[in-house]
Amino acid sequence: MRTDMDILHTDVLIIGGGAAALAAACAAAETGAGVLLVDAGRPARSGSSATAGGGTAAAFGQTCLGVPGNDDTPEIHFEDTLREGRGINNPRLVNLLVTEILPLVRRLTAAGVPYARTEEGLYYQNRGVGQSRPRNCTPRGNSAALCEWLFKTAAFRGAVSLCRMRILSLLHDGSRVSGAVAMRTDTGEMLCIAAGSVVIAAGSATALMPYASAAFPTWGDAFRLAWEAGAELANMEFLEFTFAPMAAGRVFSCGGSTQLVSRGARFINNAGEAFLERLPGLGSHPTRAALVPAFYREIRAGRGPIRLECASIPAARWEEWAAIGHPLIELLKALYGSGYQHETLAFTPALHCVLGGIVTGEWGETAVPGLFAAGEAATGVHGAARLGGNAIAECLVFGSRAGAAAAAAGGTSRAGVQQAREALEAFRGEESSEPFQAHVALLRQTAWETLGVVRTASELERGQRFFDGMAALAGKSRALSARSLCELLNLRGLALTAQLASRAALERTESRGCHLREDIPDAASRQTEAAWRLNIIFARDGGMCPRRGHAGC
Amino acid sequence: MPVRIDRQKCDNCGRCLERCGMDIYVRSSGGTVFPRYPRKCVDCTLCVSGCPLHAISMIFPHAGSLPATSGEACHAH
Ligand SMILES: Cc1cc2nc3c(=O)[nH]c(=O)nc-3n(C[C@H](O)[C@H](O)[C@H](O)COP(=O)(O)OP(=O)(O)OC[C@H]3O[C@@H](n4cnc5c(N)ncnc54)[C@H](O)[C@@H]3O)c2cc1C
Ligand code: SF4
Ligand code: SF4
Repeated sequence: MRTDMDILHTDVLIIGGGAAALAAACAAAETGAGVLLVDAGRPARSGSSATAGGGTAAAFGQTCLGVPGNDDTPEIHFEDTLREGRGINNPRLVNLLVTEILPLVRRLTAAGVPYARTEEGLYYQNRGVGQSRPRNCTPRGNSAALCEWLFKTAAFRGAVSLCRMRILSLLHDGSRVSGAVAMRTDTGEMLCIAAGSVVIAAGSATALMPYASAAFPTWGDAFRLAWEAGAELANMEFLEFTFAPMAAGRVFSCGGSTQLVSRGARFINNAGEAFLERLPGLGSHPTRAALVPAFYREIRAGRGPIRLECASIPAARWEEWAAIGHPLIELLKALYGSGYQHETLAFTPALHCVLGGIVTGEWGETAVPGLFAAGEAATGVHGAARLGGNAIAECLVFGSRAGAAAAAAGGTSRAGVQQAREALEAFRGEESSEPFQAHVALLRQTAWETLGVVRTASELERGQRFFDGMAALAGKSRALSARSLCELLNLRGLALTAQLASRAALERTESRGCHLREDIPDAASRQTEAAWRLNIIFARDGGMCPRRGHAGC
Repeated sequence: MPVRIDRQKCDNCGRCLERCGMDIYVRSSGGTVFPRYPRKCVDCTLCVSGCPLHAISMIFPHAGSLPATSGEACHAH
């Protein structure tokens, strides 16, 4: 490994390579600012964005499966989002989301993003999970196509990108964030980046659970970087679960699974019973927060595995999915060949999104001068549960806003190589004998057991003690090789995420959205409903003690 | 090996090489595109859906022999 270090100077450093980072890069580069995008993977091919369906919620009220138009409006989109978020969302951010996504999608379409449209040019809109109206515009080729377009556009506008470079630590000059230290994940080469402002768009921590729907995981780096820099984090108890296909002992990335139910698909238990039909009150368009616990409890009662009966999906749906390249079709074809429509496929509950994260204002600004955040790294839009299509919309709207604001913020960085070397001391040193990879595996299993679909105080406390121990161990461990440094970073990011999530989940003594406390009777949750319409917020100066309040307001 | 290219169909356009986030594919000095590091594959299916000639298939054990694994997901409770 090389020990000398190069330095790069940029106006705006963007951390990540998913939809939020790429939207930020496009917007920042459009202003003429110098933009450097640094991704631990390959831009447009990493993070949740790479394999997301790309459904983008935008209330055009246009066509759905040949049915012309509907009465959808941004106001209805706003109400839907607040209803599903159950008093936890920041209404100002939601208002920006529902209004700004419309011109953004139009602009993207005009510039070449292949959002599916009818021959007359109307958006083909499908009804994402939890939506009261069909509202999702979907790019042909899914989110990968959208990200590819954003990446090319950012490059065309002059943004420079580095791939397989992981940001280890942010640099601070006492008054503002001034850059970062990065490491090449294959060679271990270090790089100092001096930046006028920094946008964290590094996703969340989808690797927190052994069962997750994202093919390219994120490790909590966004949260750790923001936390260490002094930003606030909130809503960490809200981990969103879905169900994902599972075959050959592996979970496969597939968006839109929960949507399948309202599309007429039948999920059967091990007795061949369509168990969802026996559950009261699910309705014809059940939300993710209602479906996933039902799914989970069926398996826990010994009636798993749960399988999708492909034959229950109407032919028209297969055609629709084939047209947009639904990932489920690729998976089924790979498993069963052309006769897949008569097969069954097992599904498991799996972590989908982290709804908590860095507290930001309307322009993605954080409590730390010079530091911005967007996408799944940030919190505030979704609240206690998320509507389908709102995450990609969030990445586009708030990625663009954060990119533009970071470029406007200016700032001259005084960061230098010496400062970067000092920052590295927190990571690099004599290789510890700790088996980081095994610790990560145990941490993920413990997170699944204690922070999973359903929670109890006793399990959360057990988890918290374990996560605290892991965090302490990771904090004092050092590594030398690129590989073990990456494993150490994984452990640190996940341990911090789990520490905050378990504390917030213990603090919130009720069930709400995707936070389900089985030790608290539903009647008790109903009684305290109004009192709990607030956020659980962590600030560095409060240590690990959360406070209750209204984040970002 | 999780991905396989049908050499009869492939015209070595390199789209899969561009698409793969894990850099599984490489182009040999003779110009042939092939999966060089298949063990790093994360099964995202992006190369399969991106291949214009439908030349890539993913290989799994036959579904009939798949273990009923999804029950495991709850075993901790
Ligand atoms: C299977 C699946 C399907 C989905 N489908 C939809 C959908 O149809 N509609 C919808 O609205 N939402 C959907 N979602 C949710 C949505 O895709 C995500 O919330 C969104 O893509 C997050 O984008 P992001 O850019 O914030 O983060 P990500 O896409 O997760 O990107 C994070 C990026 O940060 C990089 N990174 C991480 N750490 C570092 C570091 N230290 N240094 C440098 N780079 C770093 C990663 O390499 C990656 O590029 C889906 C999610 C999944 C998993
Ligand atoms: S995308 Fe298809 S045709 Fe092109 S090189 Fe890859 S396998 Fe061959
Ligand atoms: S499935 Fe994904 S990771 Fe595997 S080779 Fe194809 S593109 Fe690469």
